[in-house]
Amino acid sequence: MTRFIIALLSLWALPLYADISVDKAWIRAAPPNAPAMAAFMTLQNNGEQDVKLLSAHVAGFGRVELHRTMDVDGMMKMVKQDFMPVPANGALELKPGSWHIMLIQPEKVPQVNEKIELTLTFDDDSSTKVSVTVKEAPIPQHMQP
Amino acid sequence: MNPHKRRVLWAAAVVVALGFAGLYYQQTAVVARKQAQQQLQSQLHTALLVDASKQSLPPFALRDHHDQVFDNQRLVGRWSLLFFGYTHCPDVCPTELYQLSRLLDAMAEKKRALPQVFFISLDSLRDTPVSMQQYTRYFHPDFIGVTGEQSAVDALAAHFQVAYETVYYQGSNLIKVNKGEKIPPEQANSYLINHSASIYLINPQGQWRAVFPSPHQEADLLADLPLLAHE
Repeated sequence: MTRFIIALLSLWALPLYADISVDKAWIRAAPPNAPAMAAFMTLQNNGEQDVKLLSAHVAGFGRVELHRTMDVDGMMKMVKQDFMPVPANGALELKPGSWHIMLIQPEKVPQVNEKIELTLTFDDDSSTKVSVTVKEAPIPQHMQP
Repeated sequence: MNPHKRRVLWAAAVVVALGFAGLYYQQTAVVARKQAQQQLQSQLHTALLVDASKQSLPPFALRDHHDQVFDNQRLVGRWSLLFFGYTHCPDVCPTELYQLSRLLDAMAEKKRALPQVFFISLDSLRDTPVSMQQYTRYFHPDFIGVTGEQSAVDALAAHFQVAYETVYYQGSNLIKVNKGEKIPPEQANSYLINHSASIYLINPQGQWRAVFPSPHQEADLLADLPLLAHE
């Protein structure tokens, strides 16, 4: 009976968890001596609650930080973010010159077509694993399936 | 009036008339040049023409990624594009250098004369000719990385009004490093340089001709460069 109640409770609790899907993810290819790289993607929130991306973890890098490039009077500023907001029934687009996940101090700079696993952790304690390919540029819109 | 005096007077009159004609000609030439510039400016998609007073560059001497002198002479004889940044740059520089490589590819496809592209480091502390070479050539084999004494880089950047600042984060706290201040050793690998992302166009006389403010669209540069080169 207790088990049944727990199962029921967890079923009831499910919709509270983030319903996040990750789309159009890519890591920008970088020179072999690049001290920092960036990952981009669209975070889609299919749930009814606003969600915050709190952190990203990637093996093989010294540090991973959430950043946003902002144009302040013509100066492009790298602004470190405590979180990235993903609105309910909405999306946040990570792209060059804007929101990005900064991958710092690579043990070895990954090559084009290499796949890197990212673990994204959100403010409701949920986390998502995504496999992201290293590319020179995002796939153009018309070439996407 | 004797004939000699008359001749002198005539000569003086001719000199004065020529003087006025010269002034008039000069004046109309200035007006014509201004009008031509205004017309060119109105045709340009994003490039901004540089005021005549800023066109001559101050003398400078930096090092290219072959550890050779990079001075004013290197900008003579071909069109050049300059971009200021640094190799620890996570987002802006890779974006710009990738776009510039695409621009050169597109120009090569159209069989246009290619400009020289120089990537000038604002980070003398961490960038060396060796690191600049490896980094810059990744984007295009013809790109040339440039570094040098910070004071020399600062002086050249100042002429182009490049805005930049050194910052680092302690946790979530942003700390700005003012000129002359030391960067803490534990931040040596992580400090950032926020900088403007304009592209500067130098003509084959080694003069600053135009600026492309960021953000850049490849199509705009592709359209503006021939207008600037064939005026």
